[in-house]
Formats: sequence, C-alpha cells, structure tokens
Amino acid sequence: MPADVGAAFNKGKRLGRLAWLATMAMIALCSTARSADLVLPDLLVDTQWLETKLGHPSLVVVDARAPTDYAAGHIEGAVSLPYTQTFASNSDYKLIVSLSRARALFSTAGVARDKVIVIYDSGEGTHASRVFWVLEAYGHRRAAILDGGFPHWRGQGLPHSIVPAVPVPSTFVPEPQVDRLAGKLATRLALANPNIVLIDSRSEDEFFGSTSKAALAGRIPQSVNVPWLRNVTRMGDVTRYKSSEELREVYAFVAGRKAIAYCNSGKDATLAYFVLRRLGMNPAVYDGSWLEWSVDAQTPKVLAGTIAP
Amino acid sequence: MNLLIPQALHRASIRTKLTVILLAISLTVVTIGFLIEVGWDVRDYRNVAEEKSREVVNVFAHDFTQILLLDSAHMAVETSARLREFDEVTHGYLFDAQGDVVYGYTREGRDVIDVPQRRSAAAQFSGEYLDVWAPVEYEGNRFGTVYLRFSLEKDKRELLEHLGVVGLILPAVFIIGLIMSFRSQGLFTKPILHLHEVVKKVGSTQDYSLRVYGQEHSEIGMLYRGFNQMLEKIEESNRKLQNTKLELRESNRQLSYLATHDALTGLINRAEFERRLKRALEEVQAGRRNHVLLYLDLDQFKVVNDTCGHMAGDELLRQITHLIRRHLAPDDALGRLGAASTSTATMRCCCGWWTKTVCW
Repeated sequence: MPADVGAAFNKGKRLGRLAWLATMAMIALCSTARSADLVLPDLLVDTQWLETKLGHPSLVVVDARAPTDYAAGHIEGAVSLPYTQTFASNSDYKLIVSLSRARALFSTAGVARDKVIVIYDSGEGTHASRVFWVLEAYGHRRAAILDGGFPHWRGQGLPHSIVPAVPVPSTFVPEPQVDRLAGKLATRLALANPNIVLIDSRSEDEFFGSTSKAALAGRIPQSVNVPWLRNVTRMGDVTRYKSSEELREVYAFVAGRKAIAYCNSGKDATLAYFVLRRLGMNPAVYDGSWLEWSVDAQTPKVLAGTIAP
Repeated sequence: MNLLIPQALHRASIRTKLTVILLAISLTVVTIGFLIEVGWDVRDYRNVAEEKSREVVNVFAHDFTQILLLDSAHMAVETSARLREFDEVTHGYLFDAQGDVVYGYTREGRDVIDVPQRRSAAAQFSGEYLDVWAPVEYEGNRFGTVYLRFSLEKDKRELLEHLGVVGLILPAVFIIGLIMSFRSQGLFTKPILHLHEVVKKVGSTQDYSLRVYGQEHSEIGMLYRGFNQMLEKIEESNRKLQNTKLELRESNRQLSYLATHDALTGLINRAEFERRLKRALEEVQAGRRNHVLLYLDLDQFKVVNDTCGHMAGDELLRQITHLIRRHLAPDDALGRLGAASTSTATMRCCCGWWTKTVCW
C-alpha cells in the first residue's frame, strides 16, 4: 500500500514537473513569438532589416514624401503620409497638426499602438524625421526611420511598386507628450532654466541673421547653432546619418540636459530631435520655431542688428 | 448567562471569575470599536477618493472644454503637463460628442490601457483603481465626456498604515484592559477575600475575639458589621458560659469540701478519713509505704461543753486542731471522728509515712 502511494506521489510529481516544463516552454515560445512579433533594433533601421520584415502584420511602412513621389514608386506595401500633412492647416506658423486631424491622418494610415512604424523619405532626412517626431509627439512609441530613404532602397534593387497600398484603418488615440512637444511658453521658460539647452537647427547664415525666412532676422537668445546638415552626409542623392560617435561629438554640449530644437517651421529641427533620441537624450521640438517667435513682440530675441561682426 | 460562561469558570475563584469577565467585556468593547473603525475608514477612504476624483475632474473641466473646442495639440500638452502634477491620475481619455477619442493621457511609467467602453456608472472602483466618467459641459452645453482613472495605491497605503497603527494600539489597549480588570477585580474581591480569611480563622481557632477590619461603606461594609456583631454576641455568650463553668466548678469544689470536712474544725470528716485510711492500708498491704495511726480522745469533753458552753467547747476543739496541725506535714491527714451530737470529741490522726511525735 505505501509503495502504491509512493508511486502515485512520484507520478504526480512527474506530471507536475511536466506541466511546469510545458508552461515554461509555452512562455518561452510566446516570448520568442512576441520578439519575432517585431522589435525595433534601433530607431534607425537599415534596408536589410526592413526587407526581411516586409509584409509583417505589425509593420506599417510610411512614405513621408509628396504624393507625386509616392505615385512614381514606393516601397512595396508602404502607405502614403506626406510630411506636409503634419502641419496645422489653419496656422500661420506651421504648428503641429491638430488633435482631430492627427487622429484622422494616422488612423487612415493604419497607425495604432501595437504597430511598428518605419518611415522613409527621399533621403533628405527631415521629411521622415518630421513624421517621426509628430508620431512621437502624439504618443506613439514604436517608430523608426529607414536609413538612406527610398533612393538607397531602390538603389539596392529592393522591392518597390507604383501600386498604391490599401492601408488597414485603425483607431489612433492622440496622446500629446509634454516632453516631446514644446510650445512658445515652454521655450520661453527654458531660457530661464540652465537645465534646458536650445538648439537652433537653421543654417549658420540664418543663425547669425544675414538671411531669414521670417520678417525678422535673428535667433532665440542662448541657443546653440547646429545646422541640420551637420547631422547627415550626402553621397549623391542618398543622405546618410553620421555615425553615432560623430553625432555624439556634435551634440556634446547638451551634456545630459533636456534639449529643445527649433528651426523656421519645425521641420529641420526634427532631424536634431531624431538624432538626439537615437543618442538616448531627452529632446523636444518647438514647432512654432522662429516663424512664431520672431513675430511676438514680447519674446526676447537676438536680432541681426545687434549681432557682433 | 450559564450558556455564556464555560463550566470551568463556575469552579474558578471569585478573583479569576471577575478578571475573566472584566477582560472579556473590555476585549469585546475594544474589538467592536476596532471593527467600527475599520468599517468607517473603508467607507471614508472610498468617499474621500471619490470626492478627490470629482475635484480633479472639476479642476480640469475648463481644459477639457478647450481641447474639445479648440482642437489644439499645445493646449492638450499643457493639460497633460498639469495632469502630471496629480500623482493619482494614471490614465485619461477625452471623448467628443460623437463618442470618438480625441485625447489620451498616460502617466509616465504606466502601461497604456485600452480605450475604455463608456459605462453608465459615474464612478466605479475596480481593484487598485477608481474609474470616473464625467460629462464635459459648459453652461448646459455638453461637448463630450471625460474618463479619468485614479490610482488608489496611495490612499490604500494610507488606509493600511492607519489600520496598522490601530492594530498596534489594540494589543496595548488589551494589556491596559488586563491590568485594569485585574486591579478593579481587587476592588471587589479584596474585602470579600478578607472576610473569607477571617471566617476561616475563626473556624479553625475558635477565637471569637477576631474582627473584620475595613473602611467599607457598601453592602460589604454592612456584611462586615453584621459579621462583627455576630462575633461579638458569640464572644459574649462564650464568656458567660465560661463564667458559669467557673462558678459551677467552685461550688462543686465547695460541695466536695463540705462533704469531706468537718465544719467546725476544718478537719477531714469520718467518711473522708475512712477513705484515706483504706487507701493507706492498701498501700501498706502492697508494701509500698508505712503509715502510722494515732488516735486521740478528749476525756471529759462533755464537762467543758456543759460548764463553759458549746461555744467554749468548739473553741477548744479548734485550738487543739491548731496545735496538732503545727506538727504535721502537709500531706499528713488529721481528721475528726466524733459526732457533734454526742459532744465527744474524738480525733484521730492518721500520720504520714514517718512517725511523728505529737506533743499534746
């Protein structure tokens, strides 16, 4: 009798162990499945990675170029979301697209929380980074940019098409992020805060006031000029980001502080934003930028006339 | 009451009984108090949480209206920045009049939650959270609905801390109750135990002079006085009894003296003399002692009586007795055998173990 009981007990124990093993195996499978589900290796992905993931149900490839460029040829399955659509239609200063418009725009493109978004442009960098920033500013957490953009993709003979993709509509919930979107007030407050650094992404000429896209030439006081082109290297029609080491050197002055980048309209500054995000820093973009700042009589400015020769 | 008190307690001493009862009462009172406190606290915690959430919703009513009407990302960001100041707000969703989500808020470090389905209940507790739904209105016009989720972790922690403190106080109160009930039982049992002690002592020593002492003004005081009065009465009757006994003994002694002695001379009478003689003879026969018997007779004593009167005769007898007695040892027996009616004084001297010379 005790032997039987012992055997039964052993059997039960064995069964328990088996069940445990099965559970662990399932958990392992699930986690590998989830990791297979799509994990972004970096905020900047290369063409090889994207090629292997094309057609994945969790992937949405976004074409940030103009609709005409998209019609002429795009990555297979990519949806069109021209960066020009990410500006508010009713704004003089090209502010960020409104809540309801953003919801409509991203929902139509099939952007949802559980989707991984890979954005590309013609290689300028700024168009893709603008869409990247708007997505992050509205709370999306899984977005990346294709290194080299469409020219690089096409140059490698990777699959592209002229047939417009039909996006799967989703429900995008705008969750505006305080740390990503800076307004005029936040920028004004940053001037008094030594823990926030202002980055001027415009050209050197604009920074020093010899030329301007706005009515006034000048800059926001205390800002540091890093022209957006300093983030990239151009090789023919392909624009590539500089290496992280180089970029870390360029932005060494940020030194762990929070950064607010601005330019004229909030497009070029997004390139600095993207680079700083990649470097693991805490950037934001002042979308009103110099266009909005310069027309406000109350804001402090360094104007062309006062710039030392 | 019999059902309430266990059998063992019936046999316990009054002290144990009182202590246990007082302790049970204090424990019950403390426990009921604690339970009421817990109930009240939980109710209070829910009310406070709900009230607080309502306040937050009211504070943000203007913000939500602005977001819904002006549709500006910058305003939404400012609202998010202000919502961030409220630690307990973990999630928020704003719906327009059509029921579409126009704005979402997720507190840093929290996981994103699915857009909740609209519920009819305005406030609902679900585990660690309080979900609140409120209309976004301005002067009677409804623009949408807001959903805010509040974390109750802090409130719950505070509640638990509070209950923990109360829980710590409880044993302290219990110990105080224990001490107090033990002390207060003494108030009742001490006089009773004292009475019991005295009763026991009186029983064992038969000492009725013992008294119960104590400044008791209650019923126990009356009991004390009654008991003391009873003791006094017993003591008095006891004393009387003793006196009577002594008197009896005395009269007995006198009676036996009168029975064995001659009233005139104080010498032992014939009956007694013969009793002693018999004893002496028994001793002689047993060979234990030697005795001497002297026999004296007064001749012509009648003449004294007749000529000088009985008074003189009596006096003569007394003086002779006195004379003889001076020469006798205390345990020598001297008796008068002659009867008073014959007026013949016959004296016999039954002397002790040694022959004495009696001068006459």
